[in-house]
Amino acid sequence: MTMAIQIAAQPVSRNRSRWLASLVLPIVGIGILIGVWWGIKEASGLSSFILPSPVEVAERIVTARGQLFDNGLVTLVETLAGFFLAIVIGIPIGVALAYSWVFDKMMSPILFGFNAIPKVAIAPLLVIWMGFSIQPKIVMVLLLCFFPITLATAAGINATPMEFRELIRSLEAGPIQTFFKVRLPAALPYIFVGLKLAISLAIIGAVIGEFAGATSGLGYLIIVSGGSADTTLAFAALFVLGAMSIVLYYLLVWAERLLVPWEEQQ
Amino acid sequence: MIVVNGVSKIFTTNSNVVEALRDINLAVDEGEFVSLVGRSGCGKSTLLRIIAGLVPPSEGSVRVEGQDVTKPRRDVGFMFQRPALLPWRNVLANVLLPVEVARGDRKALASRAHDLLALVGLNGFEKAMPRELSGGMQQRVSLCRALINDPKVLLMDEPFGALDALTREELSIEVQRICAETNKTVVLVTHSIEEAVFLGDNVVVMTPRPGRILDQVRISSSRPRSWASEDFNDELAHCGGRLRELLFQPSDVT
Repeated sequence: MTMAIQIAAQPVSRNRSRWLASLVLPIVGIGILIGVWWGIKEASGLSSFILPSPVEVAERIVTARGQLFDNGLVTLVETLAGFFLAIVIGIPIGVALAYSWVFDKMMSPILFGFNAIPKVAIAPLLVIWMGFSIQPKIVMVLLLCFFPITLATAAGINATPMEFRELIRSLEAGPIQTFFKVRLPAALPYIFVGLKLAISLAIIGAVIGEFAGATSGLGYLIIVSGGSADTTLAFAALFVLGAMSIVLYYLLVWAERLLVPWEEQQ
Repeated sequence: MIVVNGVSKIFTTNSNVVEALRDINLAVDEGEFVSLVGRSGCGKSTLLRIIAGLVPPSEGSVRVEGQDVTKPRRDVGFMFQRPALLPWRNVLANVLLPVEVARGDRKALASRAHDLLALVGLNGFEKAMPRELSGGMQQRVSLCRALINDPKVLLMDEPFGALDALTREELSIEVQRICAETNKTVVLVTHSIEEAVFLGDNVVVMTPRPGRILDQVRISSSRPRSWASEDFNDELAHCGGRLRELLFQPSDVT
């Protein structure tokens, strides 16, 4: 017991300073970026129509907060709905690809071919089929997120260590027990790689969908502000998009720590 | 208890055909401890997997307790070279995995799991995660898992192969004690002549390409054996010499 306690207790002090640094360093990075931006603005003397200063953008975020919030919420809903749909559809298909040689051979060319199609090219089609509502955006998010999630799941299920497969077989486990007790948990670290890749694609998908035709959302707001030459508002919307994707990404990292704690020490 | 009858195994891959085992005949009595030794590639691990029902033989048959082996059995415990502990389960949950899979009484066997862990000196570690344990400790947990359903037969595939020399000796003493106390029938695959002699009642020597049984050497040293005792070391010198002769003779001589 003492040994386990020692092992658990030893890295605490180092962990704490690491934890603090991991909180401070990203802020430092963002600070440098804003500084460079400001420097360029001041040195070049560009008009705010071409490049607004960080202060102008910050002021605009405050004054247009209602507009940004409402449109941001629309984009967030589209993003999350599409992302969850991609999980619900992508993980079972990934599992099927890993389990069935026939399904893999049959579907892989289609999946790869489909993934190679630029999704921007499909966006107008989706508008023709589904109109200006929220659905074509959700479908666009799904189309972008589906592939990394499916592929990561298939890779994870295939990567079950040989010793775990033999172990569970030697215990005479059925296929369902084998899946839930060994193969799915063993695949979780891989699946999270796919999810983390997919979440930033999800936001991109929502904006592409809004660009093709929408009446609300941050992508719509950017198109509108472009039309009225309101560069500052476009920057404010971009800032909200960036902040949204950072928050969503770190929510996933947090969920991963919770669900896959054994991978942390690797 | 275990009868291996004319077992052959041929592996066919895309490019070639490998004869892993040829006409293996072997009998293990109840309560007997058999060590399988041989150089790398002699098919001893394959033979163990065929006995376990993890790999089907190409020819011949294996019987455990008079029944043909066609798939893994729950009254046969298997211990792998690597601990193969599931990293998302704590020690107790890993030991209880076979019970869960067999839908056994988890509560009743939890106390048995505690006893087993105490038996290998791991009491107090029930809640520890595998990554918090040393290699030797992990392999002890793996031994408890193999024993949780109280199998009559225990099959071990180089269980100490990845451990340092001192931990190996320590664990071999524990395996001897536990197997004697619980009267297990054991087949142990090992690279180590010392280990084979220390643990075995009978040491079976195999030769590679194709894997065949060359000879069997009985170890008569009394139990419990100790690495330090003169009696055992005399036996080790004698049998070990004979085993080395067998293992290092040119493989084309039959």
